[in-house]
Amino acid sequence: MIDQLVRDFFYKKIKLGNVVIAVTDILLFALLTAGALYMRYALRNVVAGDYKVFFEPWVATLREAGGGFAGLAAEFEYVDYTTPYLTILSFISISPFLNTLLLMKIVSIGFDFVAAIGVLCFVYHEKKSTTAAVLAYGALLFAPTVVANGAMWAQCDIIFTSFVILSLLFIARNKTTTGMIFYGVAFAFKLQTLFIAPLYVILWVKKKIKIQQFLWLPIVYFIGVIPSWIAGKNLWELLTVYLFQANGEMDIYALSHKFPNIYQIIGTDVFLREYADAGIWLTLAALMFLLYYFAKKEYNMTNVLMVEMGMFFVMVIVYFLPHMHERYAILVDVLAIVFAFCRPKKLYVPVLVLVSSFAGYTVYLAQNNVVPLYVYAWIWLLLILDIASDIYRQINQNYKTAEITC
Amino acid sequence: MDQWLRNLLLKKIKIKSCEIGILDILLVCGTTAAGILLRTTVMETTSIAHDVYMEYMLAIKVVSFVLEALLAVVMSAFTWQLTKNKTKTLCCYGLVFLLPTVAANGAMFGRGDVIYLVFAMCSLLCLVKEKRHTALILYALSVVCSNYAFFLLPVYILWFFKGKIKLLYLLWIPIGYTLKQILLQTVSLPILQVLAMQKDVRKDEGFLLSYHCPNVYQFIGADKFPIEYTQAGTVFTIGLVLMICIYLMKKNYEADHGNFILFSVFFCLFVPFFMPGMDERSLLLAEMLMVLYAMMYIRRFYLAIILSIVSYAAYSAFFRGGAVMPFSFFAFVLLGIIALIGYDLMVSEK
Repeated sequence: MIDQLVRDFFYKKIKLGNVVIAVTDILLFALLTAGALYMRYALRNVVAGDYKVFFEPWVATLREAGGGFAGLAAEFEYVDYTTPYLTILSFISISPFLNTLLLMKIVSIGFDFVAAIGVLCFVYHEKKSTTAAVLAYGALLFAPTVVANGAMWAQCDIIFTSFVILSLLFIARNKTTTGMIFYGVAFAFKLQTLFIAPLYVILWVKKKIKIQQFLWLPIVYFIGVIPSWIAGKNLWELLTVYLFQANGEMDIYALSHKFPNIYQIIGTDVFLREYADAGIWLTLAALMFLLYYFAKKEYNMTNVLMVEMGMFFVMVIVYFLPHMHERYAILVDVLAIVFAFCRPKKLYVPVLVLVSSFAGYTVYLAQNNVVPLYVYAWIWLLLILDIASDIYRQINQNYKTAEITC
Repeated sequence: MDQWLRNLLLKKIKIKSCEIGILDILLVCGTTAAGILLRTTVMETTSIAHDVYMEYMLAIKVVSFVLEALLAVVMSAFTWQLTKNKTKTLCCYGLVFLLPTVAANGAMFGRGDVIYLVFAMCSLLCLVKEKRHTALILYALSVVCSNYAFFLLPVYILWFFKGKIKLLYLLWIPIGYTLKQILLQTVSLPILQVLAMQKDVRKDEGFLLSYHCPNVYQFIGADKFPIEYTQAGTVFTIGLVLMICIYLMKKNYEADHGNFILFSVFFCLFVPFFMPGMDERSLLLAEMLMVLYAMMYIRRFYLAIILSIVSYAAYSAFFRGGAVMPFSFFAFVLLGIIALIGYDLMVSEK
């Protein structure tokens, strides 16, 4: 009697709005959330070098300037964050609760969950399976690079990543204006958002978005800098933060900063100036070929293909662009999870992506280099080729199917 | 506005009998610009610090640059001849012009390998177009410019046995080679001095079985028994090539464009893999042919990318004075590529 009751309870389905969800899925969701929180709690006291060298002095400077909105008037010797994240740091600087490190980590952890919810919604939208969606949610929260980025390193890359995921989610749901606003928000936080910009160009060519919707990028960016402008900062400097970042002067000492890309194969330590420039031109040329082909070909742009293409663009860019840091592939890590849960046969993609990506984190965080990074660079290259051939097959298959249907 | 812009991008312009899209023009302009900028970033590099060489370095780099553009055009014409596909033709132009090894060879290294490449590719193109006499003259010129052109010799011989080339035309090869030797021995031109300087680059490295070329000698040690292995290795390679040639002569295959390119790729990979004394530039011809092969058979496109990376890693080992990865690994990768191409060759029955 009780046995059956327990069994029935587990298999019971509850209706939440339009979604019917099993109790097992709810329990799974709760367990994964608890597990993810505990993992992050276990890492709370890790202090990475970046915190000591950059974040702590920045927060101190913001505090000295008054913190909150007033703190945004602070003059830094060097800072490469834009106003939105500096605003968060400025409020952290005057927070009476907890210490700066923990608060920074809490912000990033919060966005880990935003990204995970975004992934959950995307997978549900595609698969209409609550179990797959909850598993994808858990996979993202347990992804080593996602955990290490915020909870361990106190970095904020997950913020822009979560907004990109939301952007893709809304575009998949045909709410393209909201999608582009989220993309604009992501851009306001980090320049790395542009790694996926070629996908948006293809989405425009394929009539998924309108050209005027691209205006949301400068609009949201401008809205983002207003607090600093009001606080008294020079508007031109605020608008050109990314130009300073893009010249790569801060990172000139190595062609790859622990990211397993092409420079780990040919050497990260010679022809620093020459290869830095040549690498940019080669990457642009590679993008030109891809954009040309993807724009010219006739095919049906499905939501999964959109994710795969986005992932592919970022993979190619971080593989060939010089001065890439170990964290710059976080967008690939997240998109690979979405992709694998939409196409389960490709489960090896996020596994290999995360292993390769996390290798760079290990070199930085643990100063550990058991397997040389060039091994991961080859894995990454093979993944790029695999994804490329998969996209090629899909595009041509798609087209053939369309022709037959016609 | 949206649709107007999209239509503009996809619009086709008719120039005489040729129809070309705005997107196509953008690709050609973009890749040309990227290729020029790529070269200007590395133009200042000096690989051979010698007075005579320095005097001519800029001239060599400029000439190489012009010929690299010409090579890209020849390669795209070749792709058109093989595939009749406009997208592939335009992509081939950009790919060749932007190949890191091609750009580095001239603009960074200051080598003139592109000269023999242009002749070799023009020769192959003429052969495909059935202009056989011209093809052999161009091939002889290619041999005059570089010994690397000999990698293609087995293909010409095989095509002779297939009745595609006359024996008389093949005489251009020994004529060209003899002419080269006579020139080297008798005439004192500045360019020959420069070529001699380029050979001096190797002096510091000593006598090796492989100079950064990821070949079989990376497995056994490039500095072990160099004199003995050089003699034995040369005979071994010639013997292997002969055996393969005999096998292919007996094999029932179609003497079509696909097999022609396939055989060319195979021998241009196979010979430098076994021949002693090869250097980092030995794979350049194979790279060109692999691009063509990839254009014909897209499923093998990944081989062109991997070969290009392996080849550039060899260049990089020269530039930085040592490789990041063990060279034996690259040799294994190259062996894998040869195995795959060899498999294609085996299954190319009529």
